[in-house]
Amino acid sequence: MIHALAGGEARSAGELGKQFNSAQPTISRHLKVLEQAKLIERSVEGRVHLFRLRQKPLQEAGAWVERQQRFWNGALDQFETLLNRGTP
Amino acid sequence: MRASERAEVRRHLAASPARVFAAFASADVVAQWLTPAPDVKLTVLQLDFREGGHYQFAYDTPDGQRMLVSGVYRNIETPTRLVFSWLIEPPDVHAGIESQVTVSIAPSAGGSDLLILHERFERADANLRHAEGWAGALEQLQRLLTKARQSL
Repeated sequence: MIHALAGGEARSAGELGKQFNSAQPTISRHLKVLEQAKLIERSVEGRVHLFRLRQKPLQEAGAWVERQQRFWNGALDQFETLLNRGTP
Repeated sequence: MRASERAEVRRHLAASPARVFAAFASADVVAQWLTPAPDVKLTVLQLDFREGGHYQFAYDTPDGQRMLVSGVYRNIETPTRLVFSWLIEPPDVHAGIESQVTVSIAPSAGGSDLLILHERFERADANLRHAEGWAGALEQLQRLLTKARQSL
């Protein structure tokens, strides 16, 4: 399901049902679980429910380590500059 | 709490452990270096350097953004070890993530070896991790069901 939505485009429950050759209630149940887990988001257009993969939570998980690594490396560069100037 | 991710930075410094340790302990000195880049200005709003004491740092970037970081000094062992919590305040993308910094300083070849370990704890992203696990399990289940149907 995640792969089916990975293109970034919104797909309807009907389209996803056809792709997986699954009964609509099964598809709806799966979509609901993924929505509750905040992995996908739902928008409603008339009677059609569209589902889209949420990009942010997956990217955010990986970015934290990189950010802190950059932070501390940058801070230590400045600390070394300070040491070279003879302070503190 | 269990560490889920960690950033690790090591650096050999041409200064004694006592001097390196002291650089973490005073607001005046911290303000001169503890920022990610020279153009990010740090204002030390609070720095109560004792176990249980709080700190709060404000970081101002050239484009006018302000990031606030705060925490508590959990363990102070002059001059070898320092542990403090690290919480980025809203509206940052990483706001609310509980993390902890452990600074270890050892004497080495005329200076010090410094290790900074920045660990992030499970709680903040537990939902996401569990969700990923579940999503994987559901996909496998779906593949099995599809296979079963095709073989009928």
